[in-house]
Amino acid sequence: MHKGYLCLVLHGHLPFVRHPEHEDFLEEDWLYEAITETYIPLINMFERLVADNVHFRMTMTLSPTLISMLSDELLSQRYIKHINRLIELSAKEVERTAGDQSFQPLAYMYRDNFCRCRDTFERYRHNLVNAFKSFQDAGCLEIITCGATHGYFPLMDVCQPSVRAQVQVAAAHYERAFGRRPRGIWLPECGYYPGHDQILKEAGLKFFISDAHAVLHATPRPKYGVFAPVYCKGSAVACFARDLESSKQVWSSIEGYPGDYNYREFYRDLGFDLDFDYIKPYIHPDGIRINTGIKYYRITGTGDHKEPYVADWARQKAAEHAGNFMFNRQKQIDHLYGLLEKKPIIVSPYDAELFGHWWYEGPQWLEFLIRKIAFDQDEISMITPSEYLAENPVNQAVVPSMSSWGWKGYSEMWLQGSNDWIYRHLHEASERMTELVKRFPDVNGLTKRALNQALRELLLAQSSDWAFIMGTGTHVEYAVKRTKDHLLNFNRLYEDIKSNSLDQGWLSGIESKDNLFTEIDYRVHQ
Amino acid sequence: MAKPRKVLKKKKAVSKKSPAKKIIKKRPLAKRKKAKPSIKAIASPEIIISQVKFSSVPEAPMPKPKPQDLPAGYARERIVLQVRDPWWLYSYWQVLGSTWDRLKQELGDSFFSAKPTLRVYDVSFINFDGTNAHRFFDIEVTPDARSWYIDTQGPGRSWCVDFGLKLANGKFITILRSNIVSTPLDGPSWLTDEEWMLPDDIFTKLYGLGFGQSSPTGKGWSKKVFFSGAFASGGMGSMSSPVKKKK
Repeated sequence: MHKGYLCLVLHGHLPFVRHPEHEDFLEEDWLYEAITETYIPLINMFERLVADNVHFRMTMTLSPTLISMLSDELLSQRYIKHINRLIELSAKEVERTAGDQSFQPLAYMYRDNFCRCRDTFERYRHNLVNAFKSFQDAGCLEIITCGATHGYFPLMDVCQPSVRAQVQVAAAHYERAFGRRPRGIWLPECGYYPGHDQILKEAGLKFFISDAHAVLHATPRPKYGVFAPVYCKGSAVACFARDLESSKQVWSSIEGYPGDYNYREFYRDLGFDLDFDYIKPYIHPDGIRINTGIKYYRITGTGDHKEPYVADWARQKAAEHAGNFMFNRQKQIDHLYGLLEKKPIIVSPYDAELFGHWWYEGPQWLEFLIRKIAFDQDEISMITPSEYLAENPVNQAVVPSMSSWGWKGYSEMWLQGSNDWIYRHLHEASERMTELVKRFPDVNGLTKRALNQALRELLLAQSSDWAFIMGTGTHVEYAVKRTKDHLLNFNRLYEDIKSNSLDQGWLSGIESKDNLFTEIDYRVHQ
Repeated sequence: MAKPRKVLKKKKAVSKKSPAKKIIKKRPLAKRKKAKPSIKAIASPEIIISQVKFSSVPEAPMPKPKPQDLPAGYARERIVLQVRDPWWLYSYWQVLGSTWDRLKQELGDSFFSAKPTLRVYDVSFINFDGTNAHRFFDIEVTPDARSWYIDTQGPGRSWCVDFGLKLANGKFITILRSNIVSTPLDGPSWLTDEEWMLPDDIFTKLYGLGFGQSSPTGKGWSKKVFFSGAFASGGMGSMSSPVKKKK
């Protein structure tokens, strides 16, 4: 008999980056790399598990911006071009490394992987959202939503209509993608601010994921700690908090699995290692070296010296680490079951891109873990938050504590010297949007188009990614530009709508560029 | 095209003129980290993964920014208060020129010796009316400041901030009053009263189930029939409230 639950949650998100005005745009590679290294490997894993009749339950966020990009025709075409180039490069690599017993097997591995990516992408008709939907429809995956553009809610509290718009636009977008309303939401950056659960409730959401201290520091004290969800007082929206022990095993740069010396080294890429003339066709047209995704070395040790990657060794390690993770969860659950006198739930949320993109063997580890849980033990049962709530409808009511899963656990990552200047402008834009909704409650034609675009621009400016990037100090120029461009577009729309002087040509231009959320209704911003 | 037979660990063949060379130099993580102490200091695993996610390519060559930039301020006069963490708040404000002009007129000479000041009120568990704060403290800000980080040293409390002028005689003149915010606790709550909850929609379903409305054999008994006495027994339990206090 099982004694507790494991709830694995993968958070899939990328900011909306789409630049039709440029033939090649480096930041679009974030998406292409994530597709090749994370999303397709996960889809292939789900396919194998389903084909082998392995029982599993997983939860995954697909943020509305990620869904929009995965469904976008231009980006799909560009991905095909991207993967074709990689297939070509890996084929050349097979030739170049002929006879080399260390590197040629790896060149073959990459060539095969890239070909599999293209096949998978084509099988799902260039839209991977279809793949994830099929696993949700099959009952093994619960897809949850996120803020429309991943706006960080705690710093939007002063303009709650924007929080509402982030949630409502996301829920409506989810419904169009998956044919049903979302039941849960990943609060962007796990940013919870007391009271926002009411806004989630209005959108029909039943639960959200938080960091541990949202619940551990809740008022009153949580009887079961993070090992049972709590309901937010008043709204009865459930909050599932992260288990830090299982998080640390995977995340920690010191004790975490991804640092094992047999695993693939992220920072040694062909794009930087090879002769410039040879690699030139596969890097940026301006000659800027970039990661190609072909990496031939294992972590090896702490120094700069790196040995060639050995796929079998890495695979064995992934299996070993999966066994270790399961063993630790069995012990944890056994202990908690005795302590709590009820079945605990261990909520283990991770950034989806940890699996494959950063930790190359992550998807293998996950597959080993799922298979082991299905066949090698009977103490742990995999579950999704919705299923847990259906089985355990009575839970403690508390007020969770404001929190995030970011640096230091609160809002400092998005509110510091490098990025605090944005809030003055973002909040003003929110106020202006609310003003527009009040002033134009029911319009049609060009004004309606402009109002809808105004909301799109506001939402895009609110992406937490821009403040985050400004905070980390890399790619700052791009993040600043995106924040300003969307705000400038918004401000111009605001002025033009009010003075009835809209420029249709310009509006069409920004509509076709920032083309996400086609069915948006500006009136949700209230 | 050159076809090197082996993967080169440190390729020296790149022309010095090539823009790529500069980029190569920037690549090793350790070096990048050294160049950005702020990142190193805050490199939690979540940040590392996101750095990798967002920084696997070098800075994009962006077109020159348009001359148009965001305005320095807006027509709305306001002060906004935000929570950074259990101890710190952040506030930004904007005072219009017309307000300064009015104050200059009203205060005369004392305007010029007045200090721009933030008055931070502890308004925990009260309806703040401007006079009933538990306590307050003042922060004198620089004349050109438009925002400030405020160390409250008070997790789990509620706060309101006035931006105003402190006159030489100690009198404080409020110009703007902020929204009220609450800092989160930095540890477990002292409150241990448990309250258990069953959400209304689930309760409604269970309530229906209790009357057999999901019976696979056909339509269930309506509540009306139930309470007609047809099923009456001596010991029907009371329907529990969805929110139940546990002693």
